[in-house]
Amino acid sequence: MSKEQSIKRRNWNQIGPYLLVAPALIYYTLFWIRPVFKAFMISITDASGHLSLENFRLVFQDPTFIPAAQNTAIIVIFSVTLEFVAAMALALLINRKFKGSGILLFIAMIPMALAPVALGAMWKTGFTTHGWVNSFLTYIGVLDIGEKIIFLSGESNTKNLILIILIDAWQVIPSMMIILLAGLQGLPKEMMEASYVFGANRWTTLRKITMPMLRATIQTAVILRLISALQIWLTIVMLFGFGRVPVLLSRVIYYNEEVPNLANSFRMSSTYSVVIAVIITIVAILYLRVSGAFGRKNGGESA
Amino acid sequence: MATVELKRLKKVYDRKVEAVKGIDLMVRDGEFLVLLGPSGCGKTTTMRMIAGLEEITEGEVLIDGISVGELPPRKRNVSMIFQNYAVWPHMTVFENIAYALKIKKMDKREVEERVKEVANLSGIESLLDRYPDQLSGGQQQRVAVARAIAVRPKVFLMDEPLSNLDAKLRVQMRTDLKEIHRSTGATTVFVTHDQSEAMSLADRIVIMKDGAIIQTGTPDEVYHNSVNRFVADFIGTPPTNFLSVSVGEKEEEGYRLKGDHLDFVANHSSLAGFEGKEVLLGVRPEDIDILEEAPIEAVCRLIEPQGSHNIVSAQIGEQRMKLSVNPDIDLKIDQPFRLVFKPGQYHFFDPETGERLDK
Repeated sequence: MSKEQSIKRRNWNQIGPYLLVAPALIYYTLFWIRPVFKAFMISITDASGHLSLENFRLVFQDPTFIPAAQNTAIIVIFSVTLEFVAAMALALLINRKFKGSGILLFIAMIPMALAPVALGAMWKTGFTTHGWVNSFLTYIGVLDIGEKIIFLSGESNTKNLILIILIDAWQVIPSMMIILLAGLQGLPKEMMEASYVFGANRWTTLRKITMPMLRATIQTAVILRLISALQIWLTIVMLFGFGRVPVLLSRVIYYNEEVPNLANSFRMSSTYSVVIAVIITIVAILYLRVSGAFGRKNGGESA
Repeated sequence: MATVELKRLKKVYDRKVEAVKGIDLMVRDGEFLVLLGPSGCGKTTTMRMIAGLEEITEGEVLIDGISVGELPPRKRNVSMIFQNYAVWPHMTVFENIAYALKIKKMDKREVEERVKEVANLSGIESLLDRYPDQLSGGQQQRVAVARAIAVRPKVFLMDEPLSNLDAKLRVQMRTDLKEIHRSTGATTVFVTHDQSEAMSLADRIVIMKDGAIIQTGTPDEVYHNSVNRFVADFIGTPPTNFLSVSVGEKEEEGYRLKGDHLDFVANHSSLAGFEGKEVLLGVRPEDIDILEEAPIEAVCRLIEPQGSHNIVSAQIGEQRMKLSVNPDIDLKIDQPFRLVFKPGQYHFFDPETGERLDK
């Protein structure tokens, strides 16, 4: 190898790696870091372009902020709990590989394939007074002919939230179930069998062996769900519009799409985004801390 | 302790695959019984049916005379050692061993004593606070052994517990298991496909093939009196040599046997009625003597030194065989030598059914 060649090689070794990551870096800078940074900057400047916390004051004093935060919290707590329990049960059931478990898996996965808009539209047509849910209930004889349940009256917030949680669960359980099922199938069967031989019944085995061994998978599934439940909005807006059941993220869209011409629409919208991002980060860290993802005492290379 | 009895035990998968074809077996109190066979012979399935991890299709499993077929594993009073250890990774060694005791609601101090006692017995007393992934494979297997002893079961079930260990550790664990069995005196059923493991551990060996029991007997019996060609071939390293010979007329000293480069006389009553027919002669590698005036000529093809003895591959006509030879005997590769089968130490097998003739 000549001297010139070896210099060329050395130059490539120094610059080459950077050239290779450059496209991804540019992409992230342009389409991810820049908007995030910009939204943050907008949230801390006022109309005249000066640094100010005025926007945050407006957000927190927005009469819809508290109900939106409450609704979001209720939806997150109940839907994630319900989804986890149901998904775990379904995953355990399908993992037993009985006759027809393959078909059950297939059916269970259908809701996963639907986009939130399609989901909203589907349940909207279902839950209107003359929708297919009422028709179906009449058909199977739960309701008398002519009798209707008014689902989307919007009068009772509790009823609305229950409906939202059920619809969200219906759509989300499959994806959570798939993650848990993958985790279950990665567990050596012998671990559970050993538990049965050494005196445990199914429930004890689930609690003491299966779930602890599945911890990393459960964490992944729950954290993904927590984040997306905190960001719920489209299904709700499709069913109830912006006003009746406000949630945090729907406020972002509200200012952007519904009242785009207010003097501070864009700034409110950006500020809401920042607030949501901070909340999500805090919730995620809290969850990981509580579930013990940091400072592992369990199964680690170091105790 | 306890006995285990299998009555016409049968396992059918998917209504068509017969994994275990209705076997009868009695494991005596305190016995170390080894189920031995090639993979797919049904030995593990049989053990899992005893444990209750596999449903019984037909027949019965009795522990101490009581049918346990309908009982879940936890009510059968058995403990098991698994091939992949199955030591729970999220628990310390102590917690692993104490798991079953805690489920039984044993007193806390008693649990601690019991765990220490069995940890001592299995040589892991210094590892109680560790997690399994900080242990070597051998240590993990010791934890599994300790966990199994701790519950003081009626029956120990061991499913190929040594096959994931390296060769040296395997031999050591083998000795340890035998010692632990001697000190606990527990009835043990041990599954393996390794015949040398079976030979060294077992009080009795049960040789299985295709879901059926082929032979049951002490290591000595199955080695020296194999009931058929399969057993003779499966047991022993190197296995029994088989030579095809044709039986001649009865002479004064016995039957004349002829084959490819073979012509000698054998006094074997089992050959009666086989005059003029082909039979298989089976002889163990160590049951062959090398003598200058011996009747059979062979050519030495390969020598594998083992230290205590040499394994010699010899060729007689077109047939190959292996001999276990004293290293003092001077053989040279591709040189002819003469050998003789030790009288009374070889058997004849039916070439079609594989059954031994003088059973």
